[in-house]
Amino acid sequence: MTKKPAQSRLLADENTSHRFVSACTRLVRGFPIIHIARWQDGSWLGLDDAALLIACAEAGLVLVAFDRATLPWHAGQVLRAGESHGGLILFRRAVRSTNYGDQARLVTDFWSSDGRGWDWMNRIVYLPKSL
Amino acid sequence: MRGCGGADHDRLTFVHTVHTLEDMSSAYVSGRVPARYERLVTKQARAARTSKSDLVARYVIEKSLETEFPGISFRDSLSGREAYLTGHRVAVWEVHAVHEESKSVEKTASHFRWPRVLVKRALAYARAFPEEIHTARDEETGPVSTAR
Repeated sequence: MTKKPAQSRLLADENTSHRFVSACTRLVRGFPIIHIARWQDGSWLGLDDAALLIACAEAGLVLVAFDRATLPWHAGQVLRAGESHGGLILFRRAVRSTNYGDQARLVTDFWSSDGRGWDWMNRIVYLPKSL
Repeated sequence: MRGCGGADHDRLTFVHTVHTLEDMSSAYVSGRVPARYERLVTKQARAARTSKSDLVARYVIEKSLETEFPGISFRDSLSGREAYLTGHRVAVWEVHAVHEESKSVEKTASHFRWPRVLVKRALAYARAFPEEIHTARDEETGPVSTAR
């Protein structure tokens, strides 16, 4: 079954865990995040970075992922090619892959205080915002 | 396939930095292919701005590794060619990183909500190429990215 809640605005990339997504929705009921494996029946799992970034822009989704230098590099390539991406929220290296609670707090706090009001097109934010 | 000495070596590692052959002996591999495939490789080498021989070397290395490690493919990354799980968006070094934290195949599989076999395949590759995995991880998550 396709999971496509109308309010989804954040797409958790595959290098994040489903447990992070669950932690977000436990912290904030109805938090507008969905894991990529559940989005469009998982059909986006096979997309490379550039294709995913463009698809996110078309769908109005901000991609949430662990920071890989390659992802912002591909975002730059997308821009240089005249396309857009829908925005990126990247966890810095200081954030442990398996610390789902911390990840969820960072994203939900940031989204509630700032992120949800922004125009995310072609924007990149690193969390935590300062080290 | 070009050898790994001198200028040839430099060119080979530029194209295929993941599998640096500095400490390995190198060998020639040759074979005949239908002309249409030679034309295809020539076209692809031109598009990739590399030489045909370097591209063929990369294809030989990657295809042989994909056969040796089922479920592993290769893609471009900022640190060179990168091993990842076929059909997924996750690099081998990312699976290895989660496993280092969780200390468990079971927990790593649960993290990604994957069958254990996928995690085991990634870890088998990581065990075979530990330096490649650490280099990829350092270059993807190192000081450059944390300073932003």
